[in-house]
Amino acid sequence: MEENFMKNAIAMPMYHQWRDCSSLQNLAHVLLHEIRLEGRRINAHGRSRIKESLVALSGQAGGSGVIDINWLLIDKGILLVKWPFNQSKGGFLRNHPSVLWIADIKNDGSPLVEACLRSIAVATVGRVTEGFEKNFVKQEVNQQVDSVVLLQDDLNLYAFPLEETPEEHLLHDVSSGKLRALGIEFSENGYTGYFDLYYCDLFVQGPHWCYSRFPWIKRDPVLSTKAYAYMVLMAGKECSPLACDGSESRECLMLEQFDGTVVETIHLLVFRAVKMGDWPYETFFNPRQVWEQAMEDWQVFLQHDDWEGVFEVLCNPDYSQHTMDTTWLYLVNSCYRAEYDLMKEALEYLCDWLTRVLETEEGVTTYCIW
Amino acid sequence: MEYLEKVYWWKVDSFIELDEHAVMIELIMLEIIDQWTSLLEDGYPPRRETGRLRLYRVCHDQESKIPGEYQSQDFAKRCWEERAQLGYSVMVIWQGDEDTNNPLDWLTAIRAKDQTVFVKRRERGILDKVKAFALAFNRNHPGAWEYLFDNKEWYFADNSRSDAHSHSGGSGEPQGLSARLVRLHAQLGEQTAGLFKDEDGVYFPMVMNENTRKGFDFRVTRDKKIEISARTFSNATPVILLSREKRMETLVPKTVYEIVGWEVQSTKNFVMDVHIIFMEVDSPPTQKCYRLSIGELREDLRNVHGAVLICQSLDIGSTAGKRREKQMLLHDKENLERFWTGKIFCNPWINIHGNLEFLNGAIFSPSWIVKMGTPIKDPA
Repeated sequence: MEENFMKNAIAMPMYHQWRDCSSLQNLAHVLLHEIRLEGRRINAHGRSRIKESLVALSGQAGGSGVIDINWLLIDKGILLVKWPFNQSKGGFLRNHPSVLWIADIKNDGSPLVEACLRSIAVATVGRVTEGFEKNFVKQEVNQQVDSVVLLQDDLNLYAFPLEETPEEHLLHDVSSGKLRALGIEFSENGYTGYFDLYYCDLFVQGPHWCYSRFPWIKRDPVLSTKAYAYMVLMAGKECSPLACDGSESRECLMLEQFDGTVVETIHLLVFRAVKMGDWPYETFFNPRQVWEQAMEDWQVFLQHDDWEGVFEVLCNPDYSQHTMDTTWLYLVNSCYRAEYDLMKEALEYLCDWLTRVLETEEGVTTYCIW
Repeated sequence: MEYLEKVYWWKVDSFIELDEHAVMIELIMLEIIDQWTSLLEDGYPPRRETGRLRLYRVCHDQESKIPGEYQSQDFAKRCWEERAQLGYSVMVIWQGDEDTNNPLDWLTAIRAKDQTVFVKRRERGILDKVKAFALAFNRNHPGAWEYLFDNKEWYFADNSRSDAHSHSGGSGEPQGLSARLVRLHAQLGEQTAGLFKDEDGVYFPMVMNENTRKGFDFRVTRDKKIEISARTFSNATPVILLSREKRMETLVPKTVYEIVGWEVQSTKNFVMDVHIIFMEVDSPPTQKCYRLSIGELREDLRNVHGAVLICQSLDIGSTAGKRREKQMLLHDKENLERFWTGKIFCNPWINIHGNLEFLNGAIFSPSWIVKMGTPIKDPA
């Protein structure tokens, strides 16, 4: 009788009560105060695709399709996270996750857990945010959670280590509307974690994690996924896209899309200076002289302190004749709202990185992820 | 699996052979209800009837000519009356002509004055535009073309230039078409819209001066652009002149505007007073002043996101009017959010189209300034 029940994918065990979280704050509350993450050991993390009927609510007929779920193996249990999908509202409603915590998977034995464990077994090493085409990915974590702090931005993901974050920058109320991520101190010395509440993606940041120490610009190859990067610059001629599974050794620099006017300016400067592929992940190698020419143009920006000055020099307007060089007009029209000082700092960072890379490499390979 | 790509189908319902040259075919237009469902027994997806069409297919006679009776006004009148009785389209194909496979080349009967004649379906849809063309031409002012050329679907060729070129309105065009047509008015005089009979017996839209018979003919290309060619209609060419239109709403405005000057009021908020002459039909021109506050207009649109406007302007669930409104709003936002420096703002000029243009690429038409600006009684 029990065997029959176990194999019936439609009948959800009564104790599998998915918890609907109406916000990221709600999700954080579940993690911190119901599962009590502090003190627990996170073994692995990933994404699987399973039959929709396995996650149907009790009393409801499950769909005949499949569904993507994120999972974390924590101590002896498993935490499952799924999101409702609504085409007219732009796809997955990431702010409204549903979570299911099964504290003891060995003694659960439900078809859902069986399916999850089977899919975890066949998953390849990768990131949950790598791309929708990757259905079965996982990463080993094997870290004990010492303490968890509340983060209001993603600077600890790519710019500065968690231990350098000033106390006053941390949030102290899990219901804060600013809450974006969890910062995790692991027991192992030198290891921290960044748990993105929006994508439910956990990043383990060890001693070799590459922090950019600059807003917007990302340097660790693990972040070269759709969710965190758009324009990717890689040192050298090697044309394969960056590996985001932790095995990548090439120097890289990345910028997100739609990340404000400063980043948009850098995008446009790079786009007009070098050749880029037309397709996602289509790499294109640009030799040293291309970048050197670009940096020569960019010197005009570095030598000025405001957009008006740049406009006067690059567009060379003749107000009485109503004529000008329109080559740079689109860029200036699109970007003049970017705070010039910040844009200049970002451009300086890019130039410094390129200069350093070009000391040893013949050029830089670029591609976009979208 | 060709049918998967087709949403609409035509099916022959019945046909009658009228004589050795002509056949009358009743066609039913079908729409695929669900192209992803299982096929019916006939091998095609489920479909429903959405419309009907009567088609006369007429073949050449032994002298490779369309029999005269099927080119006659009587036959055109018969088609016209049948359309009124049936409540759906009645079309004619003179088989042997080129391009008859394209339904836009099929003929349809229209009433013009007291005559009934055949025009090609593709030209039938532009008769109002041709009337508006004549009206705008006779207004003798660039402002009259502002709306008519808005869709940029016009190509123009005259005797001085054999190559047709598009009216783009861009700065790359050394001589704006509207300005050129205004100059042509001096040579050609008043134009009246009408139809002329081409050598093959089909009528085409035209405008011409009733005395000199100089004017333009109009053809619609396969990609639905309107091609305008200057020509003289010989006395032997049959023409039907239509009644003179006083005004055509939405195509040619009752009032046309001309910017005659401007004064900068505030460089900080980009405020400018613009002097505009109003020219109304049958009224003397009047001059008014409008205050244009770029800073305020920009502020009003600050929280409207451009990407949202793009989506709204493409939303097929919305009405055409709403989509157009969002499109215009997007255009305004982009125009207003150009790179503004005091120096650029203070040095505009009136371009060849009569619009106020700035070095940052922003262009404001006089009608837009009238719409968005505030009337000033006593300009400072």
